[in-house]
Amino acid sequence: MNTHHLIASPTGIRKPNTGTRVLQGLAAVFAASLALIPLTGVAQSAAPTAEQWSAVEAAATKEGNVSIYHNLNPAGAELLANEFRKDRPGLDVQITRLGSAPLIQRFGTEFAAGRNIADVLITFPDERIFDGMKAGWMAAWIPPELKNFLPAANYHKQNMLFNIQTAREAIIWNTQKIKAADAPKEWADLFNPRWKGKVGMNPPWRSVSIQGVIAYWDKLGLGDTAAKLKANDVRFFEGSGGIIQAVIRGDVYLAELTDLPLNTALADGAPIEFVYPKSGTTLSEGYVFVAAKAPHPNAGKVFTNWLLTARGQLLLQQFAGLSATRPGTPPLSHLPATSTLSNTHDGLELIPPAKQAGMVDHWRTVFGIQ
Amino acid sequence: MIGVNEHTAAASSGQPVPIQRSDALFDGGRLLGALYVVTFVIVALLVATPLAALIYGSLRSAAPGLPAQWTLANWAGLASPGVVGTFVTTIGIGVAVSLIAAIVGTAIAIIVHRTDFRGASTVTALVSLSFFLPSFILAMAWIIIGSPGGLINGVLEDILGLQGWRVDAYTATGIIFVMALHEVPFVYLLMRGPILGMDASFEEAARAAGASPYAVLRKITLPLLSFSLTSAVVLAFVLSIEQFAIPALMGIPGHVTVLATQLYLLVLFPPPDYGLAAAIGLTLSALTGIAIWLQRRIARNNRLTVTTGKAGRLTPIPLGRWKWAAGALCWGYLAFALILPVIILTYVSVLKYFTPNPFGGAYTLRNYVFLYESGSTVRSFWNTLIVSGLGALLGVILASFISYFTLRHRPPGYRVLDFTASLPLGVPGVVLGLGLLWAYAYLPLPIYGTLTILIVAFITRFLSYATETIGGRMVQIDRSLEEAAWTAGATRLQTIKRVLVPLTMPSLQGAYFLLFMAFFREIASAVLLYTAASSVLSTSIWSFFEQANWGLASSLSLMGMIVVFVFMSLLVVLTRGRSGIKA
Repeated sequence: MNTHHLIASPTGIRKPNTGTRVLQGLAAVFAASLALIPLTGVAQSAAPTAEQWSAVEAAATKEGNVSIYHNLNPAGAELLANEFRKDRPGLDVQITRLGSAPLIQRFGTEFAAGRNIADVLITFPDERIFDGMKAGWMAAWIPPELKNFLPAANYHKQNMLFNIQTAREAIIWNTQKIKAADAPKEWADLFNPRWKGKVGMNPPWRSVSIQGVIAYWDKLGLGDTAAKLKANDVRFFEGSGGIIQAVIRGDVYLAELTDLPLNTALADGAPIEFVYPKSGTTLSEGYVFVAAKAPHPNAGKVFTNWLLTARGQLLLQQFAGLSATRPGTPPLSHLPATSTLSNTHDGLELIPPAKQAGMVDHWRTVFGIQ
Repeated sequence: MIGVNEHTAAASSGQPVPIQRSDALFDGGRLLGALYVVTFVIVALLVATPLAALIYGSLRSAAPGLPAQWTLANWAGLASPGVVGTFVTTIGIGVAVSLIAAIVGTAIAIIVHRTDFRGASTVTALVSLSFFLPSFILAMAWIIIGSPGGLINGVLEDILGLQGWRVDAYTATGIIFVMALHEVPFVYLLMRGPILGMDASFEEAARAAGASPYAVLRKITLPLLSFSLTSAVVLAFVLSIEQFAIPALMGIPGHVTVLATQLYLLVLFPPPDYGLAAAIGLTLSALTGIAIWLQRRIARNNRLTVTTGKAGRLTPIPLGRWKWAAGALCWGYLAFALILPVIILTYVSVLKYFTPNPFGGAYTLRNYVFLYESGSTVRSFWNTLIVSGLGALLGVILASFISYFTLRHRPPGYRVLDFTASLPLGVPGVVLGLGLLWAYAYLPLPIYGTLTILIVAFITRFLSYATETIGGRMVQIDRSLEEAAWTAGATRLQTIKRVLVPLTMPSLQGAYFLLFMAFFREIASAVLLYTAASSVLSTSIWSFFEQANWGLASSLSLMGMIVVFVFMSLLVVLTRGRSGIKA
């Protein structure tokens, strides 16, 4: 039985007499249709009622399974899935992890080919996600838990893409290599010749987050930051993981970092410190959506809504290591909550496609990588 | 056409049996003809499916399935200064790596299998095991050892106080060194079969004529191995130019850019340029096809037949005063490629975060506890064993047919089959993965999202490993052996079973090892095709690694090595009696 029937089947209705049965039947079909429309793709203006949500949950249990495509910390994602299984016995969760870019590439191909495997997708977006939103990748619905979030969590009020976590740009340094008195405080410190050959970063041609912070450096009037970092013999590393390992090892002493692995490293006692510069920083917003053609649409909604609950957000933060977006969620164990940072900007908003291409071209030219 | 019966009749009548290549499709029976057609169709479909998707992608302005126009801009992009400049660097590194790997790998194979070297079995097992290490894990180990903040510099500066002496793994030299370490086992496994299968009489004759061991090696042994040796150089070159993990991890920090890292960026990072990536991948594929074709031309002009019907036993070449040099090469290689990296992996797997000083480390067993409790890890172990064990077997069977038809039977169109089978080899994994995704997502086959598609993808990608390994041995076997069997009344199939298969067994084993290991560690094509239900070990290790969790990546790699070692040991024990092969 599919979702539509489950939602359409009211329970606990008194037995009608024969004369009104047809009319009641038509009314039930009409009511069911109204309930059905928001849950199957047309933009919904209100969260489902308790009764409607119960029907979704019942349908999810019938579906029995939810398939998640994500780019979270793989070990953390498995622990998160285990917690979901505990909270929703009988509803299994299958997780497939890829980096953001191949994840989006793969989902897009599967969508276009009609090979729908993923029910839910969790990732940091690039332009393809927003194009996909227009192309019908996402189910339009309002999770019951969304009312507990700031309105901005619902991307452009489209009821499709929900902001569940945030990564922030920071400067980190090795405390065994740099004394506290010399510790960097501002972005401009990355260009200080004192640290020539000792600065690391993720190159902008492999990260939208880095493109965002470079756009912000432009906004701050820091000049040709590519040329300045080239003059400072910056070393590039493979992603946030490569950078934090390089700083811990001492290959470089300080680095620009998207703070994905930072809380975990600090919790382990790694010899690093961090600062979110007072001049401001950029955010990379992690989103979740339910696929419009999800094989298990109700299970997908139940999982997504669970992720938005206070417990889901806390667990997401604990296991994925990133700041959750639900107001009232306690901060990460070793990093401040995003809401407490001053002067934050959505990195993606700073890099419209034309600027993004121009920036990447410029950096590639400066560093001789074409 | 001279079939078996004609052969037998001619032989029994006392007339000379004409020795000639059979040139009829169905010579020897309908079964072989049917097998040839089936083999041809399978190879054509396996290869054409992703390549056709890539050709289509290279002519479109956006990825398949998205609104796009037809364009030649992607092909025009090949002439851009950036692509040309990177191409030159890539060729330089590829040539250096392939030559070093070919020399070291062949030398180890000769030392282990043709001399009185002690510990040959151990070296064989360990060199084979080192092939399992994924390239990014080897790179990770050498970054920990040789990066500016690594172990060597720690010892030089902190312990020995040598401030001016520093090593830096983030250089072209570092990349060449680690890539060569990574490819030596491949060359070794490729050369092992042909070396084991060599006829001793040529070398014996040279020795009897007073030639020194060096002269025998230079004038007899190496020329007789020329087919396999040129295959090894070509394949090692191709592998080095498509290798992305080592140059990505070691080249990017040192601003050394190669084609594979460019492709990696074009395919995997925004803004993606799939069309240009497909065009570059197809160009590399064509270049590889040409290289293989040239290798065939060169090899065809040499005398390669080294296994005849004459009696002869391999006499181990005495190493004499060279035994120390031979030992230094074998054990030195293993120290750098396996032992040292495994020690590093073990160390990292029990650390919370890396520190060069083991006395100051924050130790933990949490990574192993996690793996023990992780249901998905257990599943990926089983999936990997199924994909590698079964997939390698299917790959070897297919490659055996290809080699037999292209090198022994030679029916019409055999060169096309040979060329077609070699094409995917040149396509870098990250691009071929894209072609496989595009192709199999759209094809109405019920294999998408299953283990079957991984097996299909891996066989497509690595088929050449097996055909070159088996082919290297098949060209050595003199046709007179088959003809003698036919004369004695054997059918073609009986001859294959009783003569060819036993004689090629070392290469069949080598090919199986190669494919098993290659499948076990493959990431590039797996990452775009696996699902939660079909996850494999390599993708799990890559995910941990990518997320800075080097501890989990290391512990899972070690567990994988143990599984590989146990599996391969069992295989060797089970097949030892049947193949009669010296380790």
